[in-house]
Amino acid sequence: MNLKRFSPAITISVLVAASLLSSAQLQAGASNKSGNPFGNGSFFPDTGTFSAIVRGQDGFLGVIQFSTSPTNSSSVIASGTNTTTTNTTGVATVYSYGEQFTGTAYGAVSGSTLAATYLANYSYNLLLPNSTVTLQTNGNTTTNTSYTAQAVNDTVNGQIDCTLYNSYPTQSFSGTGQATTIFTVVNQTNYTISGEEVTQTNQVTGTRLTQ
Amino acid sequence: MKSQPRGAFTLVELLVVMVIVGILIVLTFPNITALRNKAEGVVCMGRLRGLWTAFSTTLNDGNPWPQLPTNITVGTQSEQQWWLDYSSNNLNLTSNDWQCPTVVRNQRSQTNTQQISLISYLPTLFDSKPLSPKNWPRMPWFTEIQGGHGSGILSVRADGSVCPVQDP
Repeated sequence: MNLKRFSPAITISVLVAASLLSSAQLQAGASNKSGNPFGNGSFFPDTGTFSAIVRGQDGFLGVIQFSTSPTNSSSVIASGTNTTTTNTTGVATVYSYGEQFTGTAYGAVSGSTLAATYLANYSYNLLLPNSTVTLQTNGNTTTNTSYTAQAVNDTVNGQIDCTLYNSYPTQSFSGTGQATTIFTVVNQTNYTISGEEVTQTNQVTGTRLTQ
Repeated sequence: MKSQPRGAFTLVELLVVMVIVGILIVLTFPNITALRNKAEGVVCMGRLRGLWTAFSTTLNDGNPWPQLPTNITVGTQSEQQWWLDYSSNNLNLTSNDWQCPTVVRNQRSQTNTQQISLISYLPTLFDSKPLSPKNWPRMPWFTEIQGGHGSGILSVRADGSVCPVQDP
């Protein structure tokens, strides 16, 4: 078989394949516009991995990352929308008043709405005085106090509601959130422990990390 | 004696070479991208540290952490522009000092200019008490807007260390 006879055909095939490839890439960019095949006015699917930075006054900072998966049930409800994707466990790192909280985040996407919740905690030990012994030796008074380490747990619980923006090849989102932090407080008179609740509103910006 | 004319490459040979070159490109491209992102991560860490140095200097001079005007909404391009203007006027920083090369490269082909970030590092919003940013050494001052260097989202902390936000 003389391949040279087929060379024009092969050349044309290669050129056509190359032009189809560029054409497909152009279509991908163009499909960011409305009326695209994915519906919901969105080129991007509802599934993917997302990362958000949550900022609030008084140094509140949270970084959450979560993935959405295509199943029919959901434990995150996007406000005012029907959430069609449910969540898998993500991670949350939150700084509030110098404490570093770590925990989980869950998120869901529906069309142009993204909602997520996060729950993180910070565990540490408090030394609480439990008995005081006063000794008198040769006229000198010595006070010895023993302490017990009490494990305590501060928690932060927050949620975000965001609007997604397509800017192919990037999808970003921004919105607002609210976080409630419960700090441990020790009564300095009787050394009882209680929780002090601080609620903050915050602003969220984030991006899609993967399709 | 007449020398034999040098034969040209056949079409099949050329196609085989093109296919092999194509396979090599496909195989090496992801590695090259990962290496480039890591290399840009070093630049990114340097810029985070540069921001820390500039803001640390102004705090050491007794100035409070910059406070956003009330008419600026957090998380918008206007906020980002405000940080650029503030740091340019007061700290001699340029817009380049606020840019992560990876984020800039990713944004280059974006179609919606309203969503392009003017800065790649988001400042933490401390209150105006001069000591607040320094109260806690591990508190991040600036956080990358998106991680792209294979090591999570980087931040520079009050003690000047640059590390992923998730690190304790």
